[in-house]
Amino acid sequence: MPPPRSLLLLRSQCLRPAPIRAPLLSLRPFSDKSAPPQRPSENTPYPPHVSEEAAATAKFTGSTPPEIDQGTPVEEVLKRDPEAQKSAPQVLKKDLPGSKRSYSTMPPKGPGGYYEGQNEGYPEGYSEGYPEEHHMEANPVDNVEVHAGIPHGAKYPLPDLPLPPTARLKKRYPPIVEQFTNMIMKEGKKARAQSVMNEILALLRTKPVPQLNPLIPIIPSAPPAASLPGDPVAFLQTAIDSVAPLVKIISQKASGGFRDQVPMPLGLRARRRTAIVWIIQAADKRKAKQGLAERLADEILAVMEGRSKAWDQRMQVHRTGTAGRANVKVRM
Amino acid sequence: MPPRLPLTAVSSPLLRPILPVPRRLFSITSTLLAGPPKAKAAEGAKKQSYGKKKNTKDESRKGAYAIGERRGIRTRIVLSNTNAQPLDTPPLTPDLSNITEAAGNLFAFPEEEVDKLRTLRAFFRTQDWRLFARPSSVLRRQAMEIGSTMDSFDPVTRRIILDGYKGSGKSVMLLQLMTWALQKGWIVINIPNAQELVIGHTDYEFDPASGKWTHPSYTSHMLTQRIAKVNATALANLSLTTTVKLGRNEYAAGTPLLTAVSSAGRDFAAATDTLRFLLSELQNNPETPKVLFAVENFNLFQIPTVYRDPDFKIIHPHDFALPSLFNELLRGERKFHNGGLVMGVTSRTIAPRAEAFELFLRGEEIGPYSKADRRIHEGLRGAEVMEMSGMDGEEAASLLEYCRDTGLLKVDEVEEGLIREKLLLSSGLPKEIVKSCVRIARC
Repeated sequence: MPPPRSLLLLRSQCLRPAPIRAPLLSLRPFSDKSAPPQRPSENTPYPPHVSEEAAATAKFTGSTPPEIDQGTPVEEVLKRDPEAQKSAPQVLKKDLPGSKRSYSTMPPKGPGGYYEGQNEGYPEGYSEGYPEEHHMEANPVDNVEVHAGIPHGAKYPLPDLPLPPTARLKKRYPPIVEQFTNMIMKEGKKARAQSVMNEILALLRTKPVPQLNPLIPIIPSAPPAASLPGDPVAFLQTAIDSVAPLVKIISQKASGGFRDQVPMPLGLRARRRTAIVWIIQAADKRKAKQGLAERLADEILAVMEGRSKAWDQRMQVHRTGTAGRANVKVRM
Repeated sequence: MPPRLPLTAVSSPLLRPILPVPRRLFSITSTLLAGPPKAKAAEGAKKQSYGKKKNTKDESRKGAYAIGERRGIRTRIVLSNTNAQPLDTPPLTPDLSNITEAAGNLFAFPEEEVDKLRTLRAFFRTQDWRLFARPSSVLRRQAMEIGSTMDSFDPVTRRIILDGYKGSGKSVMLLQLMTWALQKGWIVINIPNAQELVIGHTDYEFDPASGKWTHPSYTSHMLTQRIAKVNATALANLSLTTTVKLGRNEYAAGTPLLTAVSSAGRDFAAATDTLRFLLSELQNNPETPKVLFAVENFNLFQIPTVYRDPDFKIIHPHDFALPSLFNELLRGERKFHNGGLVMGVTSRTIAPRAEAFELFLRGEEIGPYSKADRRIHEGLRGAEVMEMSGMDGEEAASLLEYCRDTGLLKVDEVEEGLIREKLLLSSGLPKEIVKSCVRIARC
């Protein structure tokens, strides 16, 4: 019978102190072997640092010790010591309280000469106390035609914000199209894969309206089937997302030399990836009667109508996952 | 078995042993070097059967394609799309060429003419007809310009080489002109791809009478499957002006021209003569309607063919009957009795180039030290060169509105900014404008 849990802390190995490692003097942290640095012996008396000495003194005199962890700023020293102020350099003297800069570092407040809202966040009359001559006057510019709706200084109307995610050059295609394109790409020939993808989408426009099979679970957010040929990207996405599996099955070592089939949840991209792999495999298994684009377009239609082999694979994975859900180890 | 001798001994005639020579010696290897005969197969081994061989192949593993199926898939042209929104596009009618306001507007090809244009192989797979409910096109300025001369009563033949970038609408304009020609009752002759005549995919034969090389089966097919079918009415109304012997048959004067063309054209040997006779009838018969003769990929008639003569020299394209007949029409040496239109369409972008042809299109002469083919340059002299330009804003707007109404372009309003953007990105080429509406778009 194992000892009670409360006694666990009292086990001898728990109480054993950790060994303190001696510093490894044999290490050689310098490059010149012939002339090792003179390591000060422990007996050599070292005078402590001035601040440390002052701190030690302050400890028993009861006065305020100086900051040891971080150095004392010069400004602080000057503040404390009126004698030091006199011999301070000119630069430091300027910043002393009471001194005045000859120029303003505050943003100027022009009467209507600057962007609206620039003064927001500042208190009213923030520039008071500064000489009036430092306020910058707005330069009245003639012969500049300002269109309605175009902000001052812009030549063309500004884009609507926020920018859509696809406004970026490298993400200008729908993510599902990009992923599918990359997966039909071979030997890094992306342009070729893109032309196949274009052909697939053009072919989907010419396909008949998919006759949905009620036994096949099409994703609930799918647009109506009749609208799919008119929107080939939605067609593609509905087919892929519908046939995409929720889990993958991994084989885990279990006791007694067995292996457990453990379902693991997949993220969106991984789910789609699996679905695309199945679709491409199913399309390749069809008799090679047509080109790649025709075969894939046919397969996508077959997925929507529930005729594709990809559905069998999905059901198989889900069945195994349901059977093996007891094997999932949940870490609390 | 005779003793084996070293090779040196065998090669010397003096030392060669006298051996009994077998009667049927097919092998040139001497019996001596042949080595001992192989051991015969063991008795009881698999007997050779002389009966009908069993088909060892699995029946289910037949070829993926039936005979002709692949060609069917490759050449299938789809001219409609059931998913596309059907539109009430006005039909292309012959009177439009005189209405200035029609330019830049969209017109649909009428059903009857579509069938005939299909027979003429005037539609191409590379055109985007499959995306739209029915074939329609924007009437271009150039089409209006040529179309207005088609109506003239003068027996003038316009002889044009149409040049332009890929996707600029040359072939579609030819479609429009052919439609008008068919509607006006013209005789339409079309060579849909000049490449078929020069790349060695069809048979060829020398005709000593004319000194030209001919394409017997191609010409026969062209006469019977295209010319006779499309122009049946017009040819049936024409009767022969002279008695003529074509092939084995003689056709008396007064016989309908259609009879001569369709029956004599069936004979490969007489096909080229029949075509020549047909053209001479169109030149001489005052009853003949106007004629439209067009060649697509005309630049392929200017590059060296892959055909060879008995001396294994490459045959010049103008030594073939069909290209030389067309060139005679283009130069104006042959003239249709009541005029018409002779048109060679050539692409500027991806064409195989012939230097002499390029110079001709630019209107330049061949330099004295140039190696360019002078025969090509001379063979086209007199033809008018017309350039197919990009679309202007009005034409592009019509095309974009068509794409929007069909459902390809997802915008509510075709605004000026959009038209400018598409024109800029497509260089005004209508093919690229449609592509920009179709290909992977921003989501």
